[in-house]
Amino acid sequence: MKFLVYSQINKSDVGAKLGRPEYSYYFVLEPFLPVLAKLGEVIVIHHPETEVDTLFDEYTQAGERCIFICFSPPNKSIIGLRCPTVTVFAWEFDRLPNEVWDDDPRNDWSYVLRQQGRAITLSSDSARVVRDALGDTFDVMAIPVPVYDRFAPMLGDRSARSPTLATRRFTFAGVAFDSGYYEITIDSFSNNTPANRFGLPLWNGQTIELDFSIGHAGAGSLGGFYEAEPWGTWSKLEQPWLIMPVLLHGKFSLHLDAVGYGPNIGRSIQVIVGNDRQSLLLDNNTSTRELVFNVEEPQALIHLAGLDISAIPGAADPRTMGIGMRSLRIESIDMASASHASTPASALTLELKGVVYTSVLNPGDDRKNWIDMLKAFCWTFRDIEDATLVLKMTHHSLGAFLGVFHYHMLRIGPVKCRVVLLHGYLDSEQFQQLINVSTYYVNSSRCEGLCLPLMEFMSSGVPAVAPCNTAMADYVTEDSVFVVRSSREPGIWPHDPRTLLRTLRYRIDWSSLAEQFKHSYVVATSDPSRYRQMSAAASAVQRDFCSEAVVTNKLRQFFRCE
Amino acid sequence: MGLADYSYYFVMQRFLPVLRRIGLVHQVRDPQREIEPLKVALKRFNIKPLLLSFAPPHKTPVVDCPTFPVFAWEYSSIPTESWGDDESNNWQFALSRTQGAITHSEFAVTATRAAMGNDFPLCSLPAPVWDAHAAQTPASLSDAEWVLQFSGVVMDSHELGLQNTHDIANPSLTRHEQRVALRGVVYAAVFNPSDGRKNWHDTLWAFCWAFRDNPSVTLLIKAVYHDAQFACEMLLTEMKKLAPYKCRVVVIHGFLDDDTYQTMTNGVTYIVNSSYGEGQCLPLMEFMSAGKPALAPDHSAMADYLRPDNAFIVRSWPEWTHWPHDPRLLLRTFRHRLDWQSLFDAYLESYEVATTQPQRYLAMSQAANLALQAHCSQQVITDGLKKFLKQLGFSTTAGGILSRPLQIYVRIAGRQIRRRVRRRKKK
Repeated sequence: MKFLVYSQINKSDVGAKLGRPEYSYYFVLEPFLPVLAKLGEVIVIHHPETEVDTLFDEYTQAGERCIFICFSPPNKSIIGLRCPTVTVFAWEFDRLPNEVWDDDPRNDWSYVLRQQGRAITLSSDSARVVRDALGDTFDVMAIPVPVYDRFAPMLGDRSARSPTLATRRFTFAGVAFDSGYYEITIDSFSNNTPANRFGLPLWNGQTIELDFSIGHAGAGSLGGFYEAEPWGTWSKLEQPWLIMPVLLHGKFSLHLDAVGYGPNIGRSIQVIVGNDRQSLLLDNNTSTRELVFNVEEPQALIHLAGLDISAIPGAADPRTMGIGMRSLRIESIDMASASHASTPASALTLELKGVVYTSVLNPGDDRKNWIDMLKAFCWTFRDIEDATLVLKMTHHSLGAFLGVFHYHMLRIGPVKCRVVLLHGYLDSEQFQQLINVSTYYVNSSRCEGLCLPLMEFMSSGVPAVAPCNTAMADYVTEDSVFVVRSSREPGIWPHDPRTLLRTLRYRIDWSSLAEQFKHSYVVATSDPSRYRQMSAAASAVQRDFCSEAVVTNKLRQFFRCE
Repeated sequence: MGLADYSYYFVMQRFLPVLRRIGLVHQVRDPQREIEPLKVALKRFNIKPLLLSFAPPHKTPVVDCPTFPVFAWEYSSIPTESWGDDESNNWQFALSRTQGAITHSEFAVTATRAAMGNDFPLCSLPAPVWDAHAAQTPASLSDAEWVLQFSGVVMDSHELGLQNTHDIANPSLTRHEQRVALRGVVYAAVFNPSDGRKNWHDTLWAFCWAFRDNPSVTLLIKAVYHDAQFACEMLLTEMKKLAPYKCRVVVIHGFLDDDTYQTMTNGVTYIVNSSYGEGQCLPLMEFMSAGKPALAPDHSAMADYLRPDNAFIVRSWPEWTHWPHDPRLLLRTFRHRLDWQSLFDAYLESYEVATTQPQRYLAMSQAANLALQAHCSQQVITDGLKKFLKQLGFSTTAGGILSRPLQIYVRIAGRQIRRRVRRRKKK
């Protein structure tokens, strides 16, 4: 038996394509490989249009069964091949896309699946959705990604974890934003992170360009600003700042395309990088100014000072705008004056204590609903010091979340609990470390096709705070999870450019999420035996759902192997 | 229409008959100039006036006369911080300069009391709308056609072709004489589409989703906003997103005189609300007074008059948010998010009742009428106001009352221009 397997993103480019839509399919395919290898020979395909049928003909000649398994959404799958093809896909909505747009018949998934004759989905819920579209007798099976065995060994000889509350450490080779270093008051928002605690790489001299209009990464670099608009972003506070994707150093020119507001037109403000400060005259039209800086100690932040944000009497717009940022460009003039060798950023060590809630998500994916999670966490633990929310942001760009994070932390105001954002690729050892230091996993998604991180944490005996909708209904139980209430609401198919309301997803009950944060904290800090019960239940439910043994059996059934 | 202080004008209009029962009413345009001479004149008759300011607390004029703001509020806490250069943005400060306040719900009283303490004179008096709308006869379910005639703009999903496709040509939205014929089960919703607090998307989405295959049920949306084009475009964008659907969505925009408005409250079957919070919700109160059961959440002001026997109550939950006029956007209070599924279920259940359970519908209709009478009849509000003023030492038989007319701010090219509305208008 030959299995030809394919996913659009493969091992070599997965690091660079963090957060892109097809990104997660690699993480679906990869755990299936050893399981499929038990049932036949696995060949990884890179160019399905050319390779599959050639190999199919070859193997058929030699008397071998040959199947092509395509790990992708059906609209990106291949039809018309001689080789029998099965699409393995995740789907989190209530209705299968069955309309055609952009002249691509594959946008009607029922057409693709009918051509292929059978399908594998990752959840029972999506298998039901396929049957709703294609009839009860359509050959579709729900087969989850075999996650359990890789993560269960973390439990070791124990059958359950005890709640970890003592101080522990997590080492991470990436970038971290720790609310502990931010100082937030009603009028000010400052980031006092020492440059070497960000984990940002040292600047290699490559020109930096940031665009501050909506949808662009630059808008994510701002602190003390309003939300991005189509032309750029207005500042909100008297001393706003920008965070660079690298540590600036040496002699460089900063070109700033910005405009002044109200009394700031014709006003000279200060632009500060480390010890160097330059004056900038603001105009009433956006105009580009060039400033030259000489910075010895590497710096992550650019500060602005001297804005006049006093209210304008009778102004129609009550916001406290000072400067409007359009874009920025930084060009190196002389790196030789930097006294540091160009070394990669050293790993950061985070010290964590108390109850740690962790979530791994793509902040650019609206379905993840992480702002609700952030607000519910900060509201519940506003007076509690030993509660931490760790968000591992799976996206290639800081801009996808950092500005949004700053905007909401300013609205939330000073709280005693701690929020840490992590950015960068975690290898499997670091990922296991992250699981080890966590007390709970949190999910607040509007819908899930599967949610691998939730399954991985639960397999390791970490109980969760999560809703019980869509794919999560396959494994979220009251015994193992603090279940968050959610109820249906209309939604769009995310890849549908017409943005029509064609399906249903879920609306998370925010007060239930806050309530379950509280409940889980009480259990972790005062009811360790209940925690252990939940830990054991979490692992057991994942074993029954996605162990290699269970998944192998299902595949054997589906592919009708001996 | 549809501007921030717009609804204060209508609340004041509805209070005038009650105020006139209690004492002399004089509408003041410029409190700083007019009050002193009036006080002097009234003193000769031993009359002590008081000022009712129908406006939010930060806009209360500071004059040498007992002053009571009459304000609506739909959030769990009142602003207790100031911003900009205006200390009266802090309502604790603004109210401390007054002799008490009148608001329109127990929810608002609780929020205000939390900031002002138990000794601050405060009471809830909803606008006395019941009498003008009270059903003369019990509501009956009939399939007879009824007609709305007015001058304005209409969008009808059936005429636009939304039963067949989402891809329709944009209709011309010009104002002219309209004749809208309606029949069968009709759900009404009255709101300002540019007011985010109304959460009207849920009302529309749940209707179209529930009745996608039913051509004989109608959602009648009365859009309240000064710019017909803008309002209708917002609504049309949403109407298209759900198409195709067989049910009928009719949007009307334009002035309805008293008789036409009554035709509407008499003709519809149900009134729908899906907002994040209400200071009182005049449309809901008016339609329920006319004996129309509601589909609505029972939070904020609506908790005062919605009951399972007069409404299909929709589930909601609290969510952290900012005070709507706070430009700092700081999270300081709570609003209520709707459970969409619960509204969807309410549409289906209410339709079932309207088409197959006439007795239950009749009972709900009568219950709505009675509940609103107890909540906001002129008699009840008159008694309530008399009692409140008496406790504060104002004699209401010989006393005089000054009330400040609502000033409507019209924005033209960024400047604010005050214009006083002369005619008595209904929505």
